[in-house]
Amino acid sequence: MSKIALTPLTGSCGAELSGVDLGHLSDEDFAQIHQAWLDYGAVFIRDQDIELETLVAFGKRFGNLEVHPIVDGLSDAPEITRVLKPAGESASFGTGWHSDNTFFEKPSMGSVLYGKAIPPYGGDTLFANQYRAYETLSDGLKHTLDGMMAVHSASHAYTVAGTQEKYDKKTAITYTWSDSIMDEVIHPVVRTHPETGRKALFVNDMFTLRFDGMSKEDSQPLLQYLFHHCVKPDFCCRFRWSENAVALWDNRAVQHYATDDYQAFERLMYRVTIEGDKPA
Amino acid sequence: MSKIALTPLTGSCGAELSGVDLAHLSDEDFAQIHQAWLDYGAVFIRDQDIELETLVAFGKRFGNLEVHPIVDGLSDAPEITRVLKPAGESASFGTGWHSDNTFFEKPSMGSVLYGKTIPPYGGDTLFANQYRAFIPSAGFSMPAVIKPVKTVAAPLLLALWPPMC
Repeated sequence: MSKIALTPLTGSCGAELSGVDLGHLSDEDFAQIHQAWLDYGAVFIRDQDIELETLVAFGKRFGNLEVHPIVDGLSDAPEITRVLKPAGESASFGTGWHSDNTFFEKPSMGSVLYGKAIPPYGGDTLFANQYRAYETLSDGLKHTLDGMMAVHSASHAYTVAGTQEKYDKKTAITYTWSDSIMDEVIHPVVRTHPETGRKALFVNDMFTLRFDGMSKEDSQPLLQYLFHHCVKPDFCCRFRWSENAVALWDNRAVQHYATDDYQAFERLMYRVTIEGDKPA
Repeated sequence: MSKIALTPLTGSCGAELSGVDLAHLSDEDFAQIHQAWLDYGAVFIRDQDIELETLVAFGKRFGNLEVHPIVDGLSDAPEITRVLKPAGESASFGTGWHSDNTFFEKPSMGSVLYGKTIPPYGGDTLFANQYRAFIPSAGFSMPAVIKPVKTVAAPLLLALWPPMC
């Protein structure tokens, strides 16, 4: 019998699991974590004093891990991204609502983030349930959006002011320029989750540029409405980190936001990201 | 020496106070709560098993209490609003970002909310720091200077996103 206990964070998404040891995870334990991840969109497990190898092995139980084409991984383990913000640094990684890597043909299935150096306060991560975002639209707008496609690209997020110097490899998180930054990919505005079968809104303010077949100008009013709607507090949870906490989220079902409110403190996280499929 | 301890909730606003007994509040205790309220914008104190009279008395240490012109108060204590949402009810009070009663000539100074029946999950309250909203800060593309302009209150409240608390 399993000893894993689940506590929902809010009425919309997020759950904290206790009784988990990622260093010794049975198939039954993993099945429960996997189910919670599908049910709650984001799952949090505290007090995991593990090696990065264990983080990688845990990620691989979900699927193949990605090597990011732009954000540099560790030199000896390129599938691990070190998310470091030194005290006093102003650049903040992941601030702005987004789903990970929707500018890929196959956006990430999910991510696992592991907190090692955590500020005494600040640096929370927010998640927003995109099933709820879709389900709370009026039937008329659902009908309008159901057949629409949107254009996603890293061209804005990775070229804005404040990004350029990261390609010089002098910042805490370094980037490698890739021509793929300027590529555009097309995904449905409403995707059907391949495992739960539920429909979720799939546009985000960081990477979605416009609707397919429409100019940027024509797209903006409705896109801006959706960007605001899809992250209403009623759809959200907010995770307060502690050292050795692990967060994993279903990138097909939630968006997330890294708060930028801890400039006086260092924060160090490690992330692995799981390959996804082509949204449909 | 005071036994009140303060724990910030985030890097932007909100603090939880422990070591407080609202039923037996010295002037020094009140002064500390008042200062935390100014410093953090929102202050949270758990485990206060108090009478509503104590809630009223606590509120009155800040100033005169309002009787809301539209939302009904308790019949025997009109300065107390009962915020009740029965299970299954869809109407939600206070959903949508706002400051209380800015449609008054003199909008409310503050509010004290006391939780008696709380769901196992859900029903959180968010607060957003409006000093930060006005000040340029890393990660938020704000102009260095915003000239104060006279605004007209309208039913559509300014929704600030991302939440800063």
